[in-house]
Amino acid sequence: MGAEPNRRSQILRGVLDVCVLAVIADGPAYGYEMTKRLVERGLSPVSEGSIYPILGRFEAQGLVETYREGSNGGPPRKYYSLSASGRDALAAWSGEWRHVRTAVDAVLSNQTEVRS
Amino acid sequence: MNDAVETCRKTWKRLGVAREVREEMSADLEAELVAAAQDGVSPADFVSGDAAAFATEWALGRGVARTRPRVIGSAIAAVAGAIPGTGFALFVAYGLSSDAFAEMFPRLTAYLGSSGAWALLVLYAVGAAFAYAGAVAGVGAYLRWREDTVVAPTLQLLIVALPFGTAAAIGSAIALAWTQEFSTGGVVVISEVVVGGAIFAAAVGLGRAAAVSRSGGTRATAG
Repeated sequence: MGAEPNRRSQILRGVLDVCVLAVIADGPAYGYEMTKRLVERGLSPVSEGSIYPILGRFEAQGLVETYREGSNGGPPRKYYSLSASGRDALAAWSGEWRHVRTAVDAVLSNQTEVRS
Repeated sequence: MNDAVETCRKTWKRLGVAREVREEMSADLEAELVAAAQDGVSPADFVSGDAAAFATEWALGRGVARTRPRVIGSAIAAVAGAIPGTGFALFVAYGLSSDAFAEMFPRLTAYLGSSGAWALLVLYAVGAAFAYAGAVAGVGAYLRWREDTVVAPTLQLLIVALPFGTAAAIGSAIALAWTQEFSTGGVVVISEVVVGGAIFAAAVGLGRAAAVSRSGGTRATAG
């Protein structure tokens, strides 16, 4: 069976928020810059617009702090940085992800052993 | 670029986003589109080909979309949707007992007047079921047309509450008919329909208002 981009997108959708928090932790960034950071790390199914609802939610939940800064000749961009709550959330969500990943890996490795 | 921003702006306005927040989000979007354009990303690609959906998701994520009450519109849609079923029930109530019907179908009239009374009850139930389903479908169609953000919660609440509202409407109409000694005069029948319809519409309006209130006035989604 070939690659299934839709399945990959569905999996990614469940963990995109923690990935966005992680790239914000690398340093303040505006939305499109975060998308580029994610794509550079291999999360190619991330469309440019898919992170804005997440950023909006982070903002509403107080996980990020924002400020505006001018760009080269363009309109001012909105930059996001992690708040203290955001750092706590990143630590907690990363732990959850690692727990799930370990469990899924264990299940899949058993499946591989049965077949071989 | 302007088309995408304009579509988003209109979508946010339709979703009830406050003007100052709309202005802020529009400015942010323009700045992001400029940055994306420098990498050759078109506005259409940036919003995944659907600016309205993009704008909706963003507003919902930020929790700045305010659900509009749409109480009157919902009530009107429900009444309009219930008209076919109500018309059928009125025909059963008044048409089947009319002299004109008796002249056209004398044997059927005689049957309904004697051992076929149960058939009348079944026909009433069919009319009520049509009216109920039509009302719910009418509200659903109206809210979807308005791209409302609490369609499903509204319909779920109406599905449960509307039978009570319908019972109240029918009970009121019957009570009015009773005070008029079940006259079939035009004014009396119209009054019964108006009173029943008003109570039914009020029940729908209350249901819609409760659904909006439960939603907290704003909707936020995960992801």
